[in-house]
Amino acid sequence: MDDSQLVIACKKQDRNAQKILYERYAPMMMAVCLRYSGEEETARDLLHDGFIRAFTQIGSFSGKGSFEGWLRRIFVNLALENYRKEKQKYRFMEEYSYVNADESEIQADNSLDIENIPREEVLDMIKNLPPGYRTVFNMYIFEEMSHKEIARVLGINEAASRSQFFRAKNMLRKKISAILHNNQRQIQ
Amino acid sequence: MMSDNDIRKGFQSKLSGFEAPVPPNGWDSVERSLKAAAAARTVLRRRWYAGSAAAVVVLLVGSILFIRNPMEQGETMVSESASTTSPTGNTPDSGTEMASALESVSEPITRPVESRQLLAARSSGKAETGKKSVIRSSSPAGMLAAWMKREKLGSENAEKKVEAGTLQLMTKPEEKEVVQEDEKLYEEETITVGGNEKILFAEAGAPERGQGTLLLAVNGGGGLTGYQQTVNSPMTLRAASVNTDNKYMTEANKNLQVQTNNATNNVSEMEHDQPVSFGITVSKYLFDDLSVETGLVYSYLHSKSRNTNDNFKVQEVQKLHYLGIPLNVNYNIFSLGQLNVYASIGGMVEKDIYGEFRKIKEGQASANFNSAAEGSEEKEITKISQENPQISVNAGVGLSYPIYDRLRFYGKVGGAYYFDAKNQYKTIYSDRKIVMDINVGLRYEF
Repeated sequence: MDDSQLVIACKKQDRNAQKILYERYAPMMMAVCLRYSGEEETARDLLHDGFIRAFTQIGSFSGKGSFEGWLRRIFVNLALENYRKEKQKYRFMEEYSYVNADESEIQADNSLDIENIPREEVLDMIKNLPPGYRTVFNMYIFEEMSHKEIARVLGINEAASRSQFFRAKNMLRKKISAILHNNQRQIQ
Repeated sequence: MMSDNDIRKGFQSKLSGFEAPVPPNGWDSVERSLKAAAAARTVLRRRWYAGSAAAVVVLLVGSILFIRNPMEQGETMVSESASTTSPTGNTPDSGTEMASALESVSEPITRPVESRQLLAARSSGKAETGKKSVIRSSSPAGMLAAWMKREKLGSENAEKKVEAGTLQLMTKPEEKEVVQEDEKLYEEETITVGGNEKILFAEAGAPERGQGTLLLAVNGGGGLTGYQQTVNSPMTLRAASVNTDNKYMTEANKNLQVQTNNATNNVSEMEHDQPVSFGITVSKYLFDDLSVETGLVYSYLHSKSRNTNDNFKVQEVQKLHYLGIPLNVNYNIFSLGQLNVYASIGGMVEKDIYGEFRKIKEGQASANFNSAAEGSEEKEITKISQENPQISVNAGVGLSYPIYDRLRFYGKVGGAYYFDAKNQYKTIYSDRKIVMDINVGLRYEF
């Protein structure tokens, strides 16, 4: 059964169709949840809540775009809602990270070469970013949103979005350098 | 050097289609939640129906109360003079006329303001020829009585001949004399239709308060204080006109009439504006959907009265500022996103914190009634306070929406019943008892 048939069945609350769709897309959506939440437990909760929302709102899916794209937007929105809820908690952590960021370490080099880094490690690098940096990075890189849009969605100003993205890149660059350095060591 | 776009492409291609391991019992958990959600939707649907029904009932009851309340209709009662005269003409049955005059004096006619009344009396079938009818009264009943009386008188003195097939407008000499001498307040026309007459029209003209008529008026300059104990709707000042030639009138009454000669067009109105309230409340959830709410509510009550006639005008304004402590129980009927729809029931205790009574008198009312102090104006401002706290119970349906954290903006439509606090100064609470209101405010939920 293809997606469109499954969607039609899901609109009739067909439990089997829902199960098939879940099994087909859950691993992919789990990766999205992990990328945004950074924690396994939160990602599981998001995965669960996301599918509940998807199946209860499936009537609004017109079938014009891909089901995967529609489903992905549900999960991203859910992750952003969760971020907004937890923002107060994150604020302190980010302020701490910001204070401890060594501005002198910021490099002029803008390259982020991840070609030789395994996918799992790339995901881990993103997961380990501070929440604000991670969220802005995900929105800019994977959702292809502009800093203006990110600022509007997160309720921050555009400069803050640029700044967080810039810092996220620097943190990733350091991690990539470390990983590449380790790999070279192991080869030697 | 990589651009942001290059970085984007690099990460997207790296993680495109990447799959992470899912929890083993993930689907079971989702399935359980889906079943629970289906049950909740059924409950939500029922609550929606119940909430909608409750809102409709509240609106219906409110509308009925609103429409039925006479104060809201702005009806003004105006006195109307009923004219009577002593018989001076050649009317044969003068004793009957006098008795009728006395009856009219003792029974002033009062009705809401309206335009001139036109009475059309139809006689179907054959009418007796040669009889002319003079109908005079401002009310259908009065006109009928007068017509019957005239019918009797006319049968003795009426003309016997009427030309068939012609329509003739004529005034009977004897009748005209009676009209001019006895009843100058009315214009009378007698239309006689000869032959196969079909229609007899008589129009009662608007009363003319002219020479020879006086008004005996009962009026009050007190306004709010004058009728605060009993009046909860516009008050009518009744008046009856009595001819000074009336031989049954005592000398003292004649003097009183002279003093009130021009005191016509008496109007007395009292009007309460809708109370304006706002408050800050806190709400505590006892259970999932049930919460108690209390706080502080300020209300502003404004009433005004007007007593006027041709000679004087008294305007009074009463302002009362109340502070109240509500205690409500709110039940969330359902939620649409972050918007909560709830039903509320509760009560409130209010006490006035400041009150003011302002009276402006113009004309004779400001001075001794017997003195000629025309054109003068007086102002009185008195601080007032109510003795007893005002207790009320209320019910309504409302909406609330979060504006920041746990602070919610709410709006509620409902009605409140105000118990009689037996206070000195009448307000909308004491006069209307049931007040429909719309409340808006901020509520902190914890």
